[in-house]
Amino acid sequence: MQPLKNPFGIIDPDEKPKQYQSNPFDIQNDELNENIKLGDNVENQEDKHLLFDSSKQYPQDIIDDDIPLLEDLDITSPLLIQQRIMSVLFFQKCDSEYLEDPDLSGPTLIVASLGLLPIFTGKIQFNYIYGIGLWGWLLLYLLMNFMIQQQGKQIEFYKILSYLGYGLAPIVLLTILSLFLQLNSSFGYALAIVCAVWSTASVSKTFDTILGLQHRRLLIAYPLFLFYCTFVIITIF
Amino acid sequence: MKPQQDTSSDPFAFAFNPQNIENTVNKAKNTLDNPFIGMAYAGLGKKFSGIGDKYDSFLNSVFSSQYRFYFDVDNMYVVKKSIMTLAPYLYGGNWTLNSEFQAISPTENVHAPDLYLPLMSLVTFVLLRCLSLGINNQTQFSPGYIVDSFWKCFVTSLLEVIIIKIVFCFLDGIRVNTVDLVSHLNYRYCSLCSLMIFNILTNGLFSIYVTIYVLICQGIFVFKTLQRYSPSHNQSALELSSFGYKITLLLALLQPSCSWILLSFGQ
Repeated sequence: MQPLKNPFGIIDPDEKPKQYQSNPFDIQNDELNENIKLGDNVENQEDKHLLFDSSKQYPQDIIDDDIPLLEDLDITSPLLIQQRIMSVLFFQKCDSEYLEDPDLSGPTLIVASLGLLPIFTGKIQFNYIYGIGLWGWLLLYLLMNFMIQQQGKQIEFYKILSYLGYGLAPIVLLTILSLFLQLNSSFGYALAIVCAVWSTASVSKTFDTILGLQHRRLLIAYPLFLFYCTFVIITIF
Repeated sequence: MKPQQDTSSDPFAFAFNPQNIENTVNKAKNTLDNPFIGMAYAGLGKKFSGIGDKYDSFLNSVFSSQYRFYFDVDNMYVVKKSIMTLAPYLYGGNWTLNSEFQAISPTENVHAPDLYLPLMSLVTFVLLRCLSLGINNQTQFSPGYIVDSFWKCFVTSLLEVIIIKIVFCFLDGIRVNTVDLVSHLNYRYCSLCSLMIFNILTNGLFSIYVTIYVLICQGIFVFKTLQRYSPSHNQSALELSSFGYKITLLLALLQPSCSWILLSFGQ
């Protein structure tokens, strides 16, 4: 419906007479103050396109390669995101494709759910998730790169974000559980520790492969454990 | 017929009827399909993407510089140093490095400064404080407590470093590397973490005795560490040696008092 042109029905004597609309087939109903466009009244809306001139229907320049938008933007199917989340949750070996080309769509989904799910318990924690994530990301980036004692080898900034983001998947499970259980009990603490260790174990595998510091595996895993413990603490308390 | 209005360059084009919006869309399509404008945008894109290359070599130089020795730790070093913070009397003798001016990796010498252990124990201390608050009274806990605790620790450490740096400047202009000083003074978070773990496990029993023990150990640790910078080691004059000894003792007292301030604030 068009917005109302004269809602109070005030008649202006100096008003110019109405002119034709650009499409003479449109009905202008003054009493109801609406403009019924051509095709609105048609019973069978699927055949609406037959009313219009077929030559003007499509745009002048036709796109030859008709790729769906997601593929055009290089965001591959949700199946890939699901695959990567499952590989984190079930300790599967991370594929080399993931190591070379990590994506941020999975972490975005995970972080959004981590922020949205606690709303059902009354906790609005977007700012803390954002803050902890940002500072943890920066500090872990500096720490990991300093611990590589070789010249020339470096982990990139956004890659760390992707690995850390996928590792938050077990904590989303903990958040879902916190909706139904009271986690401030000994069972809750045990569950929280299990989730933190789960996240750490799966992500430290990725970091080990990249950093190549197998003999310092515990030292690499401990900062990651602290990072995930922070999220766990804001979930259970 | 109404005159067709040119909506392509009008900032208020959105207010027009949808019938006239085709003009805007068609003009935009013509601009984007124009190959010359496409090339111009591609050139701009290359310029913007090349800005980051400058920083890549800078980051490489930062990560390969002498500061990487502060993170060159291994498991044995971490274990030994944590025992040293809890029971410094077990490691007798002078806590000196062989060469003061060369960066030494902590894996070679246990007394070399590192930044991994202080940083990790700082974060662990903040998380343990939050944990103990959450366990004891959950209603008081909010995620902002993490930020509060972190800022208190950060400010206390900063003030301590500044005070000791100033005192060392007055004392014969002794030069201490600031990062070394930051490293030496923040090992106390390691013993504070063990204190928090003890408090959580024993639910506050004997906490006052263990606190006093931990604070004394921190004082001994800092005293022995700062001795290598005091004048008594560098000069052999008797007057200066006792003076340096006293100053180092005073400075060592600063550490437990700051720790006590940290423990008493909040909760």
